[in-house]
Amino acid sequence: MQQDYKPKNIEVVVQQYWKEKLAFRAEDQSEKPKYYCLSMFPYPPASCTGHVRNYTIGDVLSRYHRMKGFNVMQPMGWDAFGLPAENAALANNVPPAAWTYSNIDVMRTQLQSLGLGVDWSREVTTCKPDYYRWEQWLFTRLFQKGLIYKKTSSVNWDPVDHTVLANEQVIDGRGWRSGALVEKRDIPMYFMRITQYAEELLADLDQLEGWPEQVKTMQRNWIGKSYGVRFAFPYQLDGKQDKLWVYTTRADTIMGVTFVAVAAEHPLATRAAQGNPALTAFIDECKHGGVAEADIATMEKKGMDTGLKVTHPLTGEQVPVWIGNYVLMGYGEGAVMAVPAHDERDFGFAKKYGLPIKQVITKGRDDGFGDGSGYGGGTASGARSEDGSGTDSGGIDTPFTIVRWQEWYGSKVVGVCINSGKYDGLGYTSAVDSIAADLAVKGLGEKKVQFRLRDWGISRQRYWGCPIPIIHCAHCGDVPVPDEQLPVVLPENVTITGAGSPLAKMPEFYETTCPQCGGAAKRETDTMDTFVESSWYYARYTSPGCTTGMVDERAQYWLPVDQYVGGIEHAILHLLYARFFNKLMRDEGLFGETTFTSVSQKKKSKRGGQNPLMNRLPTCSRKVW
Amino acid sequence: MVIAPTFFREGAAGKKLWINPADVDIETDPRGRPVGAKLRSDGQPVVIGGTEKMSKSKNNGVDPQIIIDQYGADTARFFIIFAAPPEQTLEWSDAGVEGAFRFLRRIWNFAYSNKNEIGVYQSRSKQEPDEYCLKALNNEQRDVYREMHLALKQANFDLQRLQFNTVASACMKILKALEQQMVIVTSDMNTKAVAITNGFSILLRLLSPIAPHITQTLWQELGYGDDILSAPWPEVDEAALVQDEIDLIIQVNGKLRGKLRVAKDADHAMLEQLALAYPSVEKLLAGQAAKKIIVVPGRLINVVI
Repeated sequence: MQQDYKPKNIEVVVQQYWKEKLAFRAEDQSEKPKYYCLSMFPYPPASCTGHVRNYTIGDVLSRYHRMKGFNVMQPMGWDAFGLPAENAALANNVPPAAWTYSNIDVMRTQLQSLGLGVDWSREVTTCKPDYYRWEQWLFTRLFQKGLIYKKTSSVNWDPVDHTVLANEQVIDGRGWRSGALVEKRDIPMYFMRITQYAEELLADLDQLEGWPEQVKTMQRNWIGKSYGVRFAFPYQLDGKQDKLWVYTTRADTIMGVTFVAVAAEHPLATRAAQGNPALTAFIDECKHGGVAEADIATMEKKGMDTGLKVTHPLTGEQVPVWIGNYVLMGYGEGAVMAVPAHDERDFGFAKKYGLPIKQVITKGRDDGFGDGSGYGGGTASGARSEDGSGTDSGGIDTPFTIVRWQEWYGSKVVGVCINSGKYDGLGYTSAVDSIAADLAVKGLGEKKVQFRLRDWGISRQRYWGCPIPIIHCAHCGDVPVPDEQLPVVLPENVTITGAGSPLAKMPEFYETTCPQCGGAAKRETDTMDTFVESSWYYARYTSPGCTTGMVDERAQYWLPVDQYVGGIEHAILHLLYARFFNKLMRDEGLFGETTFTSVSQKKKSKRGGQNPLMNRLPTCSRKVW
Repeated sequence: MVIAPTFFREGAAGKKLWINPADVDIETDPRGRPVGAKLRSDGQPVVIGGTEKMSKSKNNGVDPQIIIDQYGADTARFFIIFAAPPEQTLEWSDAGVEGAFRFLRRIWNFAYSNKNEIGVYQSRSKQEPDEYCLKALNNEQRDVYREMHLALKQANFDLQRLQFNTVASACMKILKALEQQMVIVTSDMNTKAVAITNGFSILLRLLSPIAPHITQTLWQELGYGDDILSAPWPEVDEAALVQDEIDLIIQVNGKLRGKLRVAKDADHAMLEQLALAYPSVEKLLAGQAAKKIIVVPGRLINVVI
């Protein structure tokens, strides 16, 4: 035994010992209970301390469970597609593939020198055809089932990077990387119908006992289930009867509607702008700036009167239609009713443009039904400190005033209807019931459950991603690439110029024949959002080398993941998409029935019943699209 | 999130030029607080900025590979685990990294200097708590043995709730207990060797998920076995936690006069008797009767005279 501690000498020896012994190989069959520890996989140039911390935590858990007698699987892989590789290619004049593979080699060496107990035989590299061919296979299945569809869509366009940005990539109206002012553009894109699973994705959250409450709340809010009323304002235009549909969770305030706001892209806005240069200019202005909700919340609210009027469905009054830059075409109906008295945003808008404000909710009764004492107290102190006066309590005891908006005006809990004709005196629930019933009688509305979650646009106008397996045929339309022609291999030896995708300039890539009619056809040159790759790698780890599908029967043994170690910054999108893919793959029959029926309810989802460890750590350089 | 100190110099037009912590020498006062910093390449001072999230823009990123190259992977891992629980921000600190290295070196040194006791002892299980061992321990040894198992109990509990930083500190406590065990004077060297051998095997196993290389090496070197990964996880010796004797504080008129070891279930009458017979109490009483004796169970006996 050496007298002195010389880590360099002993660590090399021990790592060699593990390697020879295959010490960390996870057995696909075992008497022992299984323990699948998933650390979020890195984007290869990332060599920061945050990642090392993440993997060390995962390794401590894995080793501990191994000694506790579990059959442990701790895999590792590389989230290898993505924009940084293209940017590096541009800067260093190397193809993105070469740059990525060399980064992977560096990072693998680094992680191995850390002594991680990883089963390297399960390594997954998402930019390799043996991985993405199965993603393409799933795409074609989902396309045939209608779970992927094409839609022309208004997207965030980064004019410098020439790409579509996710909402989360738009920061203060600018591209997160380029800093360029984001434009809205209409392009055809492929969408995944995640909204079809909204209810299930939401309901399952209650069964994920091991998930941190914070993460579940974030996902719940993102899915955003709301109970409301969808109703219409009839109008007559160009000699035709039509209806302007809106959705509201506050139908009890419908009698306080003093205007309607529509998105700049709404057909009524387009119609009103005909021959109106001022409106046209305003609509153009609105089309700049992101479509992210956070941006909408913070930006200055602007609007313009279209001059058009619609009819209030209950009062028959004429209501002006405005264009509002805070109304999103992609959400709900692209139009909202405005009740300035009881919505803070509408209030600000009405004050700014001198629109009427009509109070239709007043503070609650004293019968305990609408008691808001605790609530009012908090508001009162806030208001006092704000205006420096102790006389104006600003809380529930403050009478309604159109000078300053109060929080209680918007509360469903404390209010009862006034100035609302037959609905006067009703509380929230009974007012909504009664108003929805009246609208239904007129054929102008009904109760509706709505989700905030929108379908997932997965097309990216980038080169370094998984090619979308669609062939555009002039006769047959969009034809999915047949199984025997998969994978659609991404050419790796390309030159990146920075302007547009190289694929669109490569006839040898896009020129093809239609699988249905055999005529000349054009291959899709868009690639998939790299979030698609990271949505199912956890499943692929279970079936290394599988050449028959995304996964094989081994998935059934290893899933669900017992422990996930990843940063909180992926709590919404990545983990939601991963849960979504779990369901898509289940519905493709990729997991045998037993995975989801014989396993106890709480383990129904892939991370069910277990403890996903969220540390706040790894925020550096892991891409976020 | 990982945070680290920042250093900078004011450039032209007040623009800050950020300097990487790895290129800076820090001067500290006797209490270890930084009082100044110099750029190593030119020896000139730099301004110490705040401690901020590691980022390229502040040039305060620490490449973990440098730590691994300089101190080894085990030190990097031990520091990362010890410095903060998983859900909290980790503050990078060179002193912390060095502390981690020193701790691992202490373990190595302990193993080296006791390799004969541990290496030779073959007659009983090296790994499992040993009834014979526990019975043969004297009071002092038993206290230290209990300390060790208390630390292990806490560590096993913390592992269940994913708090690994306290597992690292439990390892430190156990090493300290073993070092204490070594210096306890006893004629029963065999029992001592059992206690050390058994205790050190607990330490190695508990530490192995955090610092797998050094623990695997010592596991083999000391003859515990071939692969520490296939060793069973150390479980608490519940018998060691049972305290049949406790220490009570002896006071006279509220003033500390000493400590008394008594049976845990001793009744009041017995405790009063023992207190009165305690040498310093007896001396102060000087033959007189005590006015009053106050017993606070489990804590102290106060003799009022």
